Amino acid sequence: MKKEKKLSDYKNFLLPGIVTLLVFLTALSFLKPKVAAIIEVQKKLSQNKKNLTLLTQKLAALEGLDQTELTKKTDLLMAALPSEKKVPQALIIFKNLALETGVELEEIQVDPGELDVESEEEFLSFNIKLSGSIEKIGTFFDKLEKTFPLMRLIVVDLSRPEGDLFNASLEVQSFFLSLPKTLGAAEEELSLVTPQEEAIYRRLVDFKAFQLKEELPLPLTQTGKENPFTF
Amino acid sequence: MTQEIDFLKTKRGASLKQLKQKRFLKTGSLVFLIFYCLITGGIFAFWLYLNQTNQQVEKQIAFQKQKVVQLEKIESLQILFKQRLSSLVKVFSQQPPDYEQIILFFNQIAFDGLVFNEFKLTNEGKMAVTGTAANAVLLSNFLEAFKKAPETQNYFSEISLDSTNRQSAGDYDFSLTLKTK
Repeated sequence: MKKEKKLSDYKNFLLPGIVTLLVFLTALSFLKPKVAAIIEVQKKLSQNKKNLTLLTQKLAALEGLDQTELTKKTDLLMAALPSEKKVPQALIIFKNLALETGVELEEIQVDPGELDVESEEEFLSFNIKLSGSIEKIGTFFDKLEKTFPLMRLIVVDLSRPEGDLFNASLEVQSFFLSLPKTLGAAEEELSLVTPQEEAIYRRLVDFKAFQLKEELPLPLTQTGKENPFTF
Repeated sequence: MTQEIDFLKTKRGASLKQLKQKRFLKTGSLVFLIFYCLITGGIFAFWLYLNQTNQQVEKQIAFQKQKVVQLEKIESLQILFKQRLSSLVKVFSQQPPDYEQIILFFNQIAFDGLVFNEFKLTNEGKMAVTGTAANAVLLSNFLEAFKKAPETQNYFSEISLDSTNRQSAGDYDFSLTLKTK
């Protein structure tokens, strides 16, 4: 009698038990992995949406740039800030500036070191000695700071040994910068020019690029062996 | 007299309760199962929706990337342009003194009997000037004129007379230290 009563009691719990077991098993085998997958996909989707927004913005920015104009601008900046130490060019500039302003160039000292493009330095120092009237030396200073490659006077030492002639001893820095190594990932944001940078560019446009007047003399005399078969 | 004892009374009461309990458990289980199935279905549908959306976004990304790659030349030019400009901002932020104007100003302010022997300027804005005046009056006149000149206010923030020495010939050597603006 007691055993019969017990069995009928358990019978009532059979369906809820089966349901609970079913829920428990499916939750473990299906629901839990699916929820984990949803969290994963949501993270991925959120990242992808960010990437898509960045790409769309980048594409719009790139499409808004004019290649011809950008090439012109970049050429100007490459002239202002070359990718390597241009020692011969700087020497020619000093010489021609001296000729143009009427000062006498007495000495140029430079220690270029390694002509390595990857150099961490961003400038090359020149020590220059020249002489002339104060007005001519002043004009030399003015023109020097408005030439490409960009140069800056660091130390100016002027002394008057006699009369109106001054001797000037200068330390000049000529700037250069190595080229960027990588283009960057496609999703990477495109850096746009700030108003401050734009102002500097406009200032550089106003600079007069110093024309290199010195040309390397071509050998007029024939060198090497003469062709014996010419008639 | 006979007396009836109903032995089934308790059993009947319990079975009614059990019936109610049984019905409750049965209905409750079914409702719970339906509810669970709905939630599971919803989760599955949401997972499908997310996957499809993600695939669409990935397709769009691939398409946009392709377009960006086509504009690689412009991008490299822009990177180069920006790199150079960023570096130039640093160069131009350290504004050097206007050497030409400062030296010409000294040349302009000098008068007969007063000569400048040496100027030393650095891009940090320090300047040292040495000169010789024929007599003390000339030196005093020069210092007064120099102090009052509008250019002095424009070019210099600090001026100090470091030394004045009378030479055997009666002229005065002097040295000034200045800080350019």
